[in-house]
Formats: sequence, structure tokens, C-alpha cells
Amino acid sequence: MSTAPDTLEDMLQSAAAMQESGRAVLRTLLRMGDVAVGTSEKHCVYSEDKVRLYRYSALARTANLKPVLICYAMINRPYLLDLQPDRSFVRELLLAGLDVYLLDWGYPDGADRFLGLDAYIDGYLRRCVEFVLKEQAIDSLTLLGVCQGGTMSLCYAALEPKQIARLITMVTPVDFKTPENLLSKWAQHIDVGLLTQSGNVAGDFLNLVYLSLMPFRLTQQKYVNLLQLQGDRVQLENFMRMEKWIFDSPDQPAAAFREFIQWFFQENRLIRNELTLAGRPLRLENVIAPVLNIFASKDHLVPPSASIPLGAHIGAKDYQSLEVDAGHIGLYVGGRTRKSVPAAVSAWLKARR
Amino acid sequence: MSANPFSAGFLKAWVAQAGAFQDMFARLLNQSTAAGTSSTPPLFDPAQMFPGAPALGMSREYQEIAARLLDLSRQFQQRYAEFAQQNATIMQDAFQVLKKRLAETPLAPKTPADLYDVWIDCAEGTYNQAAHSEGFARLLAELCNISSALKIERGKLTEQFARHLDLPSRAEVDTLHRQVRALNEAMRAAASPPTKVSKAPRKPRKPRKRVKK
Repeated sequence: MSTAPDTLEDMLQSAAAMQESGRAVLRTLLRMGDVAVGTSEKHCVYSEDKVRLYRYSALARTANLKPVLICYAMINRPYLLDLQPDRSFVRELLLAGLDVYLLDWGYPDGADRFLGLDAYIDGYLRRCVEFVLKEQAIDSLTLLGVCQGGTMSLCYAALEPKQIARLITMVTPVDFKTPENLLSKWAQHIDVGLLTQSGNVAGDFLNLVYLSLMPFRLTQQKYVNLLQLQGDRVQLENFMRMEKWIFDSPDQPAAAFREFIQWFFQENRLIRNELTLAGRPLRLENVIAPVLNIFASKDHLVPPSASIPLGAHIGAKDYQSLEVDAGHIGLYVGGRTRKSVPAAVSAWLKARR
Repeated sequence: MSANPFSAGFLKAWVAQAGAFQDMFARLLNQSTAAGTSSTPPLFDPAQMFPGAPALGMSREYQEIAARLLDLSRQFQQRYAEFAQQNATIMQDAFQVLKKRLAETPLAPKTPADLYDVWIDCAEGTYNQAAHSEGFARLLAELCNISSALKIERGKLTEQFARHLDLPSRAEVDTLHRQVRALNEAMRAAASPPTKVSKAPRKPRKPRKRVKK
């Protein structure tokens, strides 16, 4: 590295500018207050225990398509999909004329520790699907699953293929044992029975694991970059919304978490056709509805290699995959993808009217 | 009695036991005079004082829990030290990568922010390589498993205290949860209309052939 005097002087000047920018950031943050998230209008149409089913208010003339039920992961809050008006996957779907429902798993507590995947997939998810079918007097709908919610949606589609007209999976793990999957490598030797013996798994514990996947970027660089925003209120609000979402992690119900780690991560039962749910063998070949599988090329949580194999294991003849140049979260909020991905989803659905 | 209580063997065993107690008092004295500075293990460390000795007496359950807690804490410290060492090695390797990259790059970073970004790239790359290794995964899992075991033992102690204070224990609450859940499921099953099971019409039986004898 050169240590010429002019370079050193540049560096000192730059450090001073960064310090000044940092002060401006702090001043703006102190004045900012809390940030609003999940702002699209919706109302609760069904609730059971901690679970809520919301229906969003229409924003455009109906496209006359089957309603879309979004099944989000249990490990984070679903408002990522509706973070703010100009970064809202849900809003874009509504503007395309779709009728959107959202399943919110809520914040499980000690009372939910014995609820296994049966209860969540064959219980809550089933009753939400059946509620929508009954409310709209139809016999099938579009199920859109995100991340772990995508895996759960796949399971449901395999159990009840007639209720699912279209299936969309987003950053969904299917093969849990690919070489790129760091989370899976770490999960292999965890005694998950022991981990869940004393109750639910804390959301903070999972946050720690996620941060450990890229510790330098996620615990240091991110905040150093924040100092360079120079008090730009809009950008700082965006940052704070994302920060709020990232650490808003519900505790995981012990039984469901144990089963998910053991059956999916450690034993890879889904693609080995060795999974049994609700007393029934679950076979991916039973998924016969048209499937759109969206994955992100820079996903560090669910690497593309975990999602891509889906097409080879399902029974659907109409299968399409869509690779998006983004990360796990950037898929929904990234500069280009926040418009292009929902546009691709609605176009795919409209083409299969 | 087969052995003389004052035989050489008996005396030797007695001296050994007395020695253990003497050692215990020495430790007590050590800890009270130089708390935190002594290299001797903690005083009430049954595993250290009487390795392998069974827990005895009225408080045997507490002794067992305490022994397990101590043992697990020791294991955790050991694994954590290995983990810290591993992280230190990653950092050293990352610095080497940074030095190499800066030497190879014709243009030096112009701002501290540029230099910092290069460092993050190097550190994350080195970490990622290590994090994918089997050894890293095993060590992380061991830390997690020991923490889980520690939490379970601490829970047992809390349960004992809760009983003394007439507070509901986790086990009692769990039992109630299970009962409420079973009731909910029974109510749901009773409320939902019974599913009709349509039976396939029976095939008419073939008339038995009479076998003439």
C-alpha cells in the first residue's frame, strides 16, 4: 500500500468527512422516531390462536384470477413483503389486480411449544386455505410460499393437490443438503432434541446464527456504511425499516422447529420422499398444479442449489423457474427487483388464467 | 469382621480421606484470602474433590445438578476457548489475504472507506472458507449442544425453587397446555361435520361350490 504524503492527506480528509457525516446521521436518527411498516390496507378475515389471515384491500380493477394466499416463513415477520409503499411486493400484486391474502403466523409463545408441523401445515394453513375457498365459493386458489413458508406450501400442495390451482415458491429450500448451504452444514451436528427440550427456540438465537453467516458484513460494514448516508432522511428511514424487520424475529415453537431441522435439514426427507405429515406419506410428485419457482442468485440463506431441484421432484408438467439477480431479502426490496419480481409473478398467473 | 480397623490399609485410607478434607480447608482459606487470584479450582466442586463419587444425603439431587452444571461449564469454557482460537486464526489469515491483495493491486485504496471495504471482502472470504469446514460446524454444534444441556440443568434447579415457593412449575404448565390442546382438538372434531365415507358397493359373493363328498 502506498503511503505517499498526498494519499495520507486524502485519507485524513476522508476520515474527517466521514466523522462529520456520522454526526449528521446521528442527528437525523435522533429526530426520526419510529418507522411505519406494513402500510397497505388490510383487514383480518380469520384468526385462530396466534395465527391471523388478512385480506388486502383492492388497489386496481380485478384481474379475475384466483385469489393468492401468501404463506410466509415462521422465522420472520411477513411485513417484509409490504415494508413501505414504494417497496412493497404485495402492493405491486394488488396494483396488478390480484386478490391477496396473507397468513401471519404471529409470535408463538410457551403455549405453542408442543405444536408440530402437523398443527401448522395440516392445521392452521389448511384452515386458512379452506376459509378462503369458502369465502370466495371456489374450489382452488393460488398458494405463494416464501422461504420456509414455501417449503410448508409445497407440503400442503402435496397433501391437497386439488385445492391448489397454482403454486409459487420464492427462495424456497427443497434440497437441504447441497454443498453451498452453510446453514445446513451447521445444522447437521446440532442435537435439536436437546435444544428444544427446554422450550421454544429464541428468535435472538436464530438472529445470532444468521448474523454468523456473514459476520463482517452484517455486524460491521452495514453500520459503517450507514455513516456515509450523510443524514439523508429517506435513506435512513429505509435503513431503519429494514433494521426493525431483521431483528423482529419471533420465537420458534419447539416441536415444529425440532421437526423442521431434523426432518428437512438433517434428514432431507422432502426430496427423499420420506416425509409423513398428518399421518399421510407426503410425496412431491403429488404437486401437479403449475409451479413458478423463484430463487435469488446471491442468496446466502437459501442458495440457488437448494431451490433449483424442485422441478425434478414434482409431478407438475407446467414448471417454470426464475432466477433473480438479488439476495434473499433484496429480491423483495432491491432497486429493480421490487418491481420486476411481482410483475413476473402476475404475468405468469395471467398467462395461466 | 475380616479386617482390623486399625490395620495399615485402613489407616492409609483414612489419611487419604482426611487429606482430602485438609485440602478442602486449604482451598477455603485460599479463596477467602485471595479470591479470584488462586489457580486452585472452586471450593464446592465435588467432581474435582471426589472424582466419580456418588451424590449422597438429603441434598443429593442438588449435588447431582451442581456437578453436571460444573462439568458442562467446564466443557463450554474449553470449547469456547477453541472457538476463540479458531476465530483468531481466521483473523490472522484474513490479514494475510489483505496484505497480499494490497500488494497485488496497483492502485492503493484512496479513502479509509475503500480500505475498509477491501478488508471486509478479505475477512468475509476467509471466514466463509473456514465456516464451511467440518471442524467449524462440529465446534459450533458442540457449543450449542452444551449450552442446551446447561439450560436444561438450570431449568431443573428453577423447578426445585418453584416447588419450594409454591409457584407453578414448567412441568405443571406443560401438563395444562397438553390438556387444553387435547380439549381444543376434541371440540374442533366435534364441531366439524363428519366426513362421509362412501363405501364401494359390495361385490356379490360367488355361491360356494358344494363339494360332494
